[in-house]
Amino acid sequence: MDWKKVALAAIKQESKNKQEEKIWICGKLITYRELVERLEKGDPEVEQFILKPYVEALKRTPAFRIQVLAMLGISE
Amino acid sequence: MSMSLMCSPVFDQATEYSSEWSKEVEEIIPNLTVMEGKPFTRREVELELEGKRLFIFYGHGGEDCLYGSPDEKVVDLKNIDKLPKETYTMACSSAKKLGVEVWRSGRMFWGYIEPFIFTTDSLSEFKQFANNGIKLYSKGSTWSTALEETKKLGRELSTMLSNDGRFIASIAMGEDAENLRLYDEYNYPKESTCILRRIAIKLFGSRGWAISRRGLTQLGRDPLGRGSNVSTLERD
Repeated sequence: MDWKKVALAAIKQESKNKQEEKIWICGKLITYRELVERLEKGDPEVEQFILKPYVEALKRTPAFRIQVLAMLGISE
Repeated sequence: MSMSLMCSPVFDQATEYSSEWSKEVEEIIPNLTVMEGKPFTRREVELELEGKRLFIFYGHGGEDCLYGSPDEKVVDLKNIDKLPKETYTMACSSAKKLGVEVWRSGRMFWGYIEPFIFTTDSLSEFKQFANNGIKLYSKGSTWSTALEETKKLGRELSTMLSNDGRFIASIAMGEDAENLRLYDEYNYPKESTCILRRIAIKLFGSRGWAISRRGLTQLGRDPLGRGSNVSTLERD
């Protein structure tokens, strides 16, 4: 499974459900939607601090992986 | 006389949150001088630091500084000597360079080696995590125990957040817990951007930080240390 694609899909899904929520990252308070936009543009800082650990958690933490896949409605 | 100084400048939305979190700390630390709710100058902070034993800072930071306003560093590598024996901060990245140099000057530093990330859907959890170390210390824990317990709390909160479907918050919390550092007499910095310094730390532990730049260059030429005398190494 391409865990990077899964992570991106999961972040997009969560941002859709929480449009008003924000994240403080790299010196800025940005909405979850802006977070997705930055990830889609390949922003290296957001990739380093969110996408990379997200992918690692999917790979290494079974409980996290199961919960994220359940949110996306896909099976391993 | 007040023994501790809390500085929580406010000058944007993020510092409004961090200042809010600091209020809980104000209630538990006795004899606390409080500077809060507005931007502060370097001079104002330096004056209040005189005679203090503990400095608590909630606000923005960089790798080598703490900010009192968008364009004024209230602490950086040039005024470390003004800091008291102990500094506790939740500011982004300040443990990376500032914390290391504070430790090298013989003082204790609690902070983060990377940006402190938080999400607005989990503010109470991030507040709990950011405040945990100083709360435990105020109840009599050692800084080392407070670090261990706070990292454990961060991992537990991260799991709780993912169980609750707050996955982005869970990842941010996990990163914060991972990036938290304590530098004191028992815990020394183990990371450095300098590869030679990293080798020195690996070889000599905390004494690897006492090696001068010249000594590091020598180490680069002779990694086994033949001909070098570690006992005469100087701080640079």
